[in-house]
Amino acid sequence: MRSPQNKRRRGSVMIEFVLVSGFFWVPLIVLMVTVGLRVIRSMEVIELVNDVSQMFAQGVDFSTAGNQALLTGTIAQAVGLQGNGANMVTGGGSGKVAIVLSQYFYVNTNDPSCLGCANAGNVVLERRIVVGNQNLIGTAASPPSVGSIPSADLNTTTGTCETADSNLPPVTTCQYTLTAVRVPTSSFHTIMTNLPTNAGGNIGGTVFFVEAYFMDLTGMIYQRSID
Amino acid sequence: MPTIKRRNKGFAVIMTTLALFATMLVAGLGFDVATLYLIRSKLQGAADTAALAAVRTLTVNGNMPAAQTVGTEFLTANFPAGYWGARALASMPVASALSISLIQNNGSAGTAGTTATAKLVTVNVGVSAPLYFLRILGQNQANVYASAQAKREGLLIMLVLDGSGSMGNLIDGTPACTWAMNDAQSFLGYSQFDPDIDRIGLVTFSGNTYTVAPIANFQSPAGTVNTSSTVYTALSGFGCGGNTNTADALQSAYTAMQTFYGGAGVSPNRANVVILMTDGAPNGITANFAPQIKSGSSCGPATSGGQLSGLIARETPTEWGILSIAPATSAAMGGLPLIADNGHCQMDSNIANFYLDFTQMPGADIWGDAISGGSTYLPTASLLFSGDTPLNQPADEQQFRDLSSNVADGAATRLRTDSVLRITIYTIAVAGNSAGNIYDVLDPTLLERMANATSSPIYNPSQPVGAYFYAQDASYLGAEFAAVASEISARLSK
Repeated sequence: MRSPQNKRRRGSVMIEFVLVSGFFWVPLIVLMVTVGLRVIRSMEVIELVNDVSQMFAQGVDFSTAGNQALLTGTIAQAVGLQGNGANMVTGGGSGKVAIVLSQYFYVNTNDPSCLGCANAGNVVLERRIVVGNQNLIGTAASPPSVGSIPSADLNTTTGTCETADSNLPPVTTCQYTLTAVRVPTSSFHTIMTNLPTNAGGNIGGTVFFVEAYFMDLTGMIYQRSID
Repeated sequence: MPTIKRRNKGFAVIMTTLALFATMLVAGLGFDVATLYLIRSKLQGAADTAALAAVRTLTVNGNMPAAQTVGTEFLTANFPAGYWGARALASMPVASALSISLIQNNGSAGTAGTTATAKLVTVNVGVSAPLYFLRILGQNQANVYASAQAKREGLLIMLVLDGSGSMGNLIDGTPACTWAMNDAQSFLGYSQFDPDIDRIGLVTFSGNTYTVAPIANFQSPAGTVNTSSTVYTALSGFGCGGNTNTADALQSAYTAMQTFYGGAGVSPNRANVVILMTDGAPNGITANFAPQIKSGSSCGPATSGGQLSGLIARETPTEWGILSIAPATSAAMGGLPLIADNGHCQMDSNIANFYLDFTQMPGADIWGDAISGGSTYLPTASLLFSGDTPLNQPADEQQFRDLSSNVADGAATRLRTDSVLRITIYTIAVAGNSAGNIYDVLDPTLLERMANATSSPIYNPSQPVGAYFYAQDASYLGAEFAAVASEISARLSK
């Protein structure tokens, strides 16, 4: 036979359970799930930028539909990378991920193709390809990437720099003459100037820079790799 | 009972506290371990990148301290100091995380210029990662390690240079031959080649083939030329004249490579590269003519059942012949038997009379490469030596060029498909010398095929993929040699 005292206790247990659950267990579980998901996603994004960066450095041309399909269909499928649609190198507008592939070149002052050119001694952006949701770049406190380089100076088909009139062959001249593609001195500036030169000792080095922006309910994850 | 009820009071608080403690412990363990995995993932990526960057540097310049500097910079760039609170271990400073060593093929230590066959880049890096929840158990930090290795393997390069008569043409007042000599000598000093582990040999050819410099090291520091080195000295004597027996030249380079490794079928310890520079189509074939002796002729081998091997080439526009091979060349070609006939051949009095001794070209050259037939590059019928007509007609010349191209194509295929040596062939075409000569006109398609370039009509990605380079005349050869060096360097870095 239940006493009135037990009935009263049953109610207080309910209240205690709600209080403890609401103020402690539920937030704790939510926190654990959130942190866990974020760590897992971070690891996936780290692996993604490492893999893509090495492929990019080895000459895989991600401006082509086939190689972008390789990204969206296999390498970055797990993180939900969406294709660019018709904008092959400027990025699309949907999906949780944006991958920015940038190729930087150091214009050696002794480079025979330079010979006192405007960009002598500078690091320039030779190429930029954006795959995925370009709207994520620079949002949610993530770095702006190479957004400071005007898109007008990059060819919308190949991603290579080009002169304003587009008449001069890209890559062969614009990196020497187009001051708009200069990159401000940054942490990797030293890396570039220290890279070995070619056989003649006068053509600067190139680095391949891959950045990934991943956004989901847990927030923005930004990772990068330099090859 | 009141006493028991009093005892029950507070039990839930104790249980909740214990459960809370246990849950926090498990959650904290999970968080800390996940953090460690995150740091390790980033650290491993940085180590991989550092190793690859160092190897890329070595492929451009073999200077080990420079490669060490670049690799270390990539390591710190990809794993910034303080990433998730991680700090470099005092016992493993980042500055000495990357080391480069000379190794032999079996992985043991090697000596520069002699036993070393590769440079091994090793990255061993460790950081101390902070722990957050496990501090409850007195564990404030944990060490995370990553390691990576990458290798700049050694090269064995055979320079195969065309010294045929057309290379004597003047370009800007200088013989093409001299341009080639100077540019090949400069090639020896390119910084992409590493004297510590790379080797180079030289074959020059015209109708005959000459292995003028056996395989040796570069005999000079990286990026410099030793004007007394074996290859440099041999190049100084590079002269031009005669025909273009490309197939024999490739075979000579192949034989030299096999000899270097200790014989056919012996596993190599380097990446094998042939660089073929030529200014015209092949027009020379070495074959055994014994089976083609005309019926009724008393011409034959000196020994019963022996070979009657020799080089057929177009010596002058009106003079073809089987040219005997000089003894020195025979030795260089791996003991190729000389023409040794029984003294009853028409060609004994005049090499141009060989057509009186033989019925047609053999089906294959002395190395087994098909001369004619449907499976060849240019499926031409065999050249018949009918009647008493010497070979001096344009049709004969074109047919002979096609047959010579077939054996050159076959030789290149044989080298590329050697599953042991896996030889990569780079071809450089020098235009401007042979225009108008139907028997010697440059054939870019043949050179693309020989290189298995991606532009080749028979491109096969399962075979070593080389590249084809084009110099509009000999004065542009230097740029093409530089392009080949860069291409080799780029391939090595991948």
